[in-house]
Amino acid sequence: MDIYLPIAEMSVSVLLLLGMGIGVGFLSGLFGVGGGFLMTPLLIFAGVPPPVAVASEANQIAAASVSGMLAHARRGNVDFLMGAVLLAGGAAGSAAGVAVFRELRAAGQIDAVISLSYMVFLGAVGALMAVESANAILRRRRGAPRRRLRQHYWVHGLPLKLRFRRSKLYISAIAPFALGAVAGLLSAIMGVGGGFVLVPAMIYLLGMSTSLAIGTSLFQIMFVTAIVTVLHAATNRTVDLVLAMLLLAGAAIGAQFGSRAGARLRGEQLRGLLALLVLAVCAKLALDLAVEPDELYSVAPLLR
Amino acid sequence: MRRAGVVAAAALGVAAAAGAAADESALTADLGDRRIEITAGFTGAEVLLFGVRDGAGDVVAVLRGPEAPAVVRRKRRRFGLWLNHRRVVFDDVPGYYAVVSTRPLSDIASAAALAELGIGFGHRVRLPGDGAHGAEASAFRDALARLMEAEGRYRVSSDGMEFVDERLFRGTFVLPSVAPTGRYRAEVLLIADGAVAGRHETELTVRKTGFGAAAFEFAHSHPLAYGLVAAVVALTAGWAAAMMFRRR
Repeated sequence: MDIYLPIAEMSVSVLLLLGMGIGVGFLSGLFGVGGGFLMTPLLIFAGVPPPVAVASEANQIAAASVSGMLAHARRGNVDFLMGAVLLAGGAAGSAAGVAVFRELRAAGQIDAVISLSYMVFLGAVGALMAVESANAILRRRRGAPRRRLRQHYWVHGLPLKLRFRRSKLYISAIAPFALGAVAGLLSAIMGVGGGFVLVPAMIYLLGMSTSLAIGTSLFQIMFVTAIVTVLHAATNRTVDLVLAMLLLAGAAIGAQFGSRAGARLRGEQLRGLLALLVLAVCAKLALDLAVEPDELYSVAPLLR
Repeated sequence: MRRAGVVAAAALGVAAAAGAAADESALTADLGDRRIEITAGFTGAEVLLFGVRDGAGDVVAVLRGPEAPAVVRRKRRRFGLWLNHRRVVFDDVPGYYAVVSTRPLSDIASAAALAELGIGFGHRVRLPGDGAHGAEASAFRDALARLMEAEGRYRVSSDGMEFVDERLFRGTFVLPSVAPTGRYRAEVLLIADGAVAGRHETELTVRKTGFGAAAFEFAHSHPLAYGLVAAVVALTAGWAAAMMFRRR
């Protein structure tokens, strides 16, 4: 059964979209990741125009992060002041990202830039995860102690210091603002939440605890992807609500099974698997850019 | 696919009468459908064309979608990657262009005659600018035709039309799922000895209906409001999903 996506202006199989939603939702439930970094490339592989894939996936993530955010907020895992500073940065970053996106689209380079961004980030994240999970497996075998989390960096000493009570931090607001801006930029250009950059940076750079970092990043992601949705719709008219809602329906179902399965499986091996998956998507994107395409020409409406 | 078959026989009777009454035209024709609606399940449509000729000659019919500027880009390897490089802008590219005829076009009229009539993609889509890069621009135009053909938006065929009897002819245009919306013009020509012996024009409207149409219209007429609605709908749907799956 096919459904016509009104903004993408194409017919796609409903089952394919639901299946992709369930699959990626399962993985996101399993690993506790947003899944945007897998879904956007998958949509592109399925033939959805990259600008529509990015903007609609941002819209889907806004929806998907609500439940996680609420669950973390109930458990007191959201530092709202930190979240607000990150969000302010995220708003600025996503506004810049959408503006850059528009220019690149008019210049005909947006598809390549999206693919390249994914290659760089998936490659880096996949490699880091592979190394990390390998180390974790080794460490568990050797029983070596974990390294100390909290360290002080120069970014903490910048002006505009704020007291983040929940996180028990007294650091410059510039660091989380800048971090939020980077995540917002990625969100606008890649259609991701940016959790894979935010969470590690909040833990290792800002010195937050893991659970607070996850809860607070979800707070930021939910609002930033909502802002990205509005900005993309207003600037590029690329948000396909029908596409986003179909993916959400699949992802909501998949995530339930994923989180149940995740409770019964061991972390390191799972992360190792996810790393391989991420590297595979990265390799496919790289191949598509590096191998001479059958058709060198492409056509697009003239944007004014 | 849906077939637009309507009351062809009755309509034909009217068309034939109209044709006889028409002053100088030796040809009359009509479409089986004047309106194609793109709904959520739209996968394409077939549009029937039928008509009657008065006198000898071949029938050529052109269906042309709404025109808009289009950018054609060519990739080139740079830094080991295939990136878009040169581009050519064509001012008036029909979003759909199909020609059906009772015999191959080259047998019906000379290339010069077809050019004069504006039949054929190359004769319809003009090369841009002063023609300084003529050869290159023409390669881009060939690529444009190829890309549109791959999407089903460009087609020239001599099997799409046939004579049912000495005077009656019928043909079929195939609209793909990506058919652009707007007003389509159908031009039907009777060509005898390379000259036009009869001509008839009619129109077809392709439009989106239902939720898809409303969403597209809203997204393009009020983009900011659409974005706000999309964000609110997403957050609400996410909240509803969270409530639904919340562990008790």
